[in-house]
Amino acid sequence: MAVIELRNIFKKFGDFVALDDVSFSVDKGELVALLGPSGSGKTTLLRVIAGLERPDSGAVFLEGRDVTEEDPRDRGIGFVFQHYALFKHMTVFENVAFGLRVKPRKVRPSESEIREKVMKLLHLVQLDFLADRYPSQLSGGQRQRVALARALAIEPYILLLDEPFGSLDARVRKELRRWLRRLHDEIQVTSVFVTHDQEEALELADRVVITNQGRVEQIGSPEEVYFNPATPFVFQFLGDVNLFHGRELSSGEIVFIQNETAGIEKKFYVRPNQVSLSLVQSLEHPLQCKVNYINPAGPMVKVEVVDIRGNHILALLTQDDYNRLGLKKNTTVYVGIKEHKVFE
Amino acid sequence: MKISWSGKSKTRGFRLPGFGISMGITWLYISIILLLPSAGLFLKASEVSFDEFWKAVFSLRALKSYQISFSLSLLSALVNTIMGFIVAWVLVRYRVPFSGLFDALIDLPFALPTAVAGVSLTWLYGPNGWIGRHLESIGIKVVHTPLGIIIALIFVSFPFAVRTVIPVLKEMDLEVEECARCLGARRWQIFLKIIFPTVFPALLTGFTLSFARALGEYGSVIFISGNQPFKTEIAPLLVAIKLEEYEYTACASIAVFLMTVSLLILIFLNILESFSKGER
Repeated sequence: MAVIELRNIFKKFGDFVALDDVSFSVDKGELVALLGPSGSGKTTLLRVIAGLERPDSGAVFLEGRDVTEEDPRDRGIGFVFQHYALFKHMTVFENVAFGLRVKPRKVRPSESEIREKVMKLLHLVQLDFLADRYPSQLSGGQRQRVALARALAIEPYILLLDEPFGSLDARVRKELRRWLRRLHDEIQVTSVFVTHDQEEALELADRVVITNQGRVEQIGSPEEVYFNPATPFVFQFLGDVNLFHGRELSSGEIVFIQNETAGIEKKFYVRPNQVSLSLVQSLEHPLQCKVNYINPAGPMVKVEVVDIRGNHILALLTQDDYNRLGLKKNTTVYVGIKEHKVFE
Repeated sequence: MKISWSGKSKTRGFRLPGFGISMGITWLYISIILLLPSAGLFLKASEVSFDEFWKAVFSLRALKSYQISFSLSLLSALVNTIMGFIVAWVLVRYRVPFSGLFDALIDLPFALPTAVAGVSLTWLYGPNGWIGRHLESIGIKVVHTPLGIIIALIFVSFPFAVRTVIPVLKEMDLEVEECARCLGARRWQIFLKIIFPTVFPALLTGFTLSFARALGEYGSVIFISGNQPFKTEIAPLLVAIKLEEYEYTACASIAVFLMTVSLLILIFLNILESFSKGER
């Protein structure tokens, strides 16, 4: 049974449509990414699940129970805010203990139980040595982990994370990303996180929900959405794209010649690593171009070429291919396409 | 790696340029504006013999006036702090119609000459005034009673209580409260454990400023209080009366005493304030 189920959620802020008929579900123990550009409604969606935002219409089901009208405090969901939202006047220990201390007296754990639990959580996020510090004395990554420990203290059956790595620098972000994946595998709590970074979503999530302008564009595993994008938007959002305008002949052959009139005009979406370059023209490499820019730094060499119509094409070559071709600026090359995608 | 900003920094540590001159200006200014008048007062009072000083400062009439001044100032500061918090909360958290007008109104006591405030309050609360008339009919007298003094003190010191709290409330991150809600906190728990501790230092500052302003208030009170010795005579007025009666030594003695006590109270409140801010 789905732990989270959203049915036809609509939400407007004034005239702005934040969520436009959104439905999807999350299974037990899954780690799902909500991926989309800013303003695509992904944070609003997360807040709707938590109960911090009430949908204009539609329903939210948690473990089969309709909670659409329920207050966030009764939902038992762990929420990690983008800017951590730590309680500045409390120590790290008290921050984590907060969710336990506000429980009604009947179900509140004793002081020694609280102490034990908080220290266990701080140990889990590797911060037990900072228990007596105040949030202002911590680094960004440490604050993030305190926020996580605090959310986990109430033993949530769902964990929601809003841009969990958004305000960290690149190196810390990658470290914390892998750490979060391991942590999720360890504690197995159903989790949804919001991100605008496709690399993060594809690396971390079991499934990715791609949103755009308040609508869900595609839902699927990272492989599915990357190799079988449902819409041009998904294709473009998940990586660099070259757009070729050409014609597909009835024989199946594709031509990029401007004055060709046979066949049907189509747009061909091609990833830079599916572009191949050659020094001689052939059927596989029909399009004449000039090298405009080369950046060999990194695992792949980025080569930008310009065709005779002035269109820029980005190619990613292996270092070997690059050395074999011996490209320089203004070298004439012929472009071919290894794989392409056409959206009808 | 050690970064040195000036040649001497190895031994003396880094100093912002212009330290000498800005420190000099600060001390000179504080000396002329604040220290000199106070020192002059002490100098004047030092001419007084101990007996005279004792008699002036601890006469029954003076003692009673201190009691009136300090207790009523304390009470009005307390009322202002509570009401100021509520007003600030409403202005910051809710979309209030005419909030710009409210905002300007709050500062009115700053701008209004205190004598004008005193006269209009006296009219309003007098036996024939709009409010006083109705209060009188249910047996509450305002003018020429301690109640009148409190109303005047509340009026003149109100802006401090609101103005110190507003920026802190504005700065408060709503996400923090949402987070507490997700963790299961009820409304009153959020207020008690999150909002109040965050605002408390500002409330204390507002209380201190409000209290200090009320202690020093003179202009508005003398109209509404009736100035009866032992009943509605405030300490600052006693100083003025001694001056008018050419009792310069008594005047200076009481003034020095008032200043010392006020200073001690302010120092105490300031220490309390820095403690309440804690390690943040």
